[in-house]
Amino acid sequence: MPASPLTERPSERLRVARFPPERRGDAQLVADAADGDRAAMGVIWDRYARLVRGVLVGVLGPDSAIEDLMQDVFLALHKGARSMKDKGALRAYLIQTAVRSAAFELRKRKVRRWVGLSPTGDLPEVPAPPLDIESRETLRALYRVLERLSERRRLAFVLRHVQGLEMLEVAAALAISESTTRRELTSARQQLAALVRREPALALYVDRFVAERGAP
Amino acid sequence: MNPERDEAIAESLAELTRAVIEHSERHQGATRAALLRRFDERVERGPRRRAWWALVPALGLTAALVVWLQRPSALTYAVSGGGERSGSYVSAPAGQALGVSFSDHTELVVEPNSQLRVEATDQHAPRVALERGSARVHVVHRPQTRWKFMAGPFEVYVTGTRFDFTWDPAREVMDLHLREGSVEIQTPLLASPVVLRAGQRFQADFDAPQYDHGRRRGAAASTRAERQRGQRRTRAERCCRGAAAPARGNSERTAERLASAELAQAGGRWEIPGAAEAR
Repeated sequence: MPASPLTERPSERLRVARFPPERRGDAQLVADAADGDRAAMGVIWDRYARLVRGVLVGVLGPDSAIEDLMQDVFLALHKGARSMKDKGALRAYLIQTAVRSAAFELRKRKVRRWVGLSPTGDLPEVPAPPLDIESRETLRALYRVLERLSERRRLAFVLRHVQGLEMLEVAAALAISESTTRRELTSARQQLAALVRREPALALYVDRFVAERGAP
Repeated sequence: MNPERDEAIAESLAELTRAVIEHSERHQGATRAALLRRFDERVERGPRRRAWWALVPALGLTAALVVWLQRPSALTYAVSGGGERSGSYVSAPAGQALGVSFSDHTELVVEPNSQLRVEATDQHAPRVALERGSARVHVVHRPQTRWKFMAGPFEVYVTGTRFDFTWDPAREVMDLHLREGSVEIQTPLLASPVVLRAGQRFQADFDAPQYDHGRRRGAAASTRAERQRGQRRTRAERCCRGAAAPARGNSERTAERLASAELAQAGGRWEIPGAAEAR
């Protein structure tokens, strides 16, 4: 005798195929991650890990703490997901969290420098790309130059020029006005141009790059 | 300044930075796995309760720090005019007065042949005992400071005032002439303190210092003789000159009367209303 719909167990009758997590919208992913959905957190990572890494590595350079900071940014999302007003603004949320983490790490470095734990404030054993000596020196010079920028200018430079964020997004991430962001970026570019001249290896690279692109 | 060139330089540096970022992405997979592991742990553990109890040591430390910072610091004092200073004793030689200046700007002048002892320099309750002789006192009023001067059994509580103070331990005579402000004098003879206003004078004379059952009585030979002659003086009579001599033999009532009586200024001395009639 076939089972009547009335005698059928509700769980079997109501079971529906789940919408694949990778096709869910940001708001849904945030809500699911807040509920402890592992797959949702995985998808959020897949979508935004490059962006978050770009902000962190761009600001801090190749640092052994980057991988931990990456995890912390995403776990902070899990913690703060329920209190997020606009769950659809996941990208902006993650950028802001990454910016805060990077800024905090910069301050920690400064403290380390003050207390003399490290002359540059960097952690030892920085994993740098396996490059030839000239390229390594160019990279070291790059981060020496970025180190000379103020925290806000450095963040603005990375968000705008390295990550290619819109001016409004940069302003929102730094919690400053758009006009202030423009001023900071102009100052950052001028300062970088001046600083590059003091680093021969970097100046050589820049000159080559500018010549290739046919820039003035 | 060339904005276009600056832009090009910034772009070249950004390109270099992007190469560094790209290189760091080789850890992407391992970091993802580590993140999901930590995520699972958190989900399994549930929302972390705020460990308020962990704040207890921090709060305790903060409270201790606040208490330590607000601890009463001791007053310091300096003696000027030579003389002899031995520990907390300040002794003025014959023919020379000494000045004692406290860090709260309270000033004492120890008259010649006088000795006092700085008993406590607590900022809130400093104490000075006049061992013998006279001192001129000028206390600077501070909201949380209550100066105390002692002479034999007398205790003078001061807030801010100026007075002259004499204590003769041999004759047990105390004399306090208040010039400014007010003081409160406590004696073992009176249940309540005597409050003196500016211009008033308090004199006390214990000429028969004997205690019996914790009460002061005329037990000295001279007083016993007087008692035998029916001339025993009451405690109050002996104690406070200028005061009424109330009903003889009833020291408690005398004390209460003295304590509750309003002092009236009369020629720089204090008197109890009705004293004349009693006398």
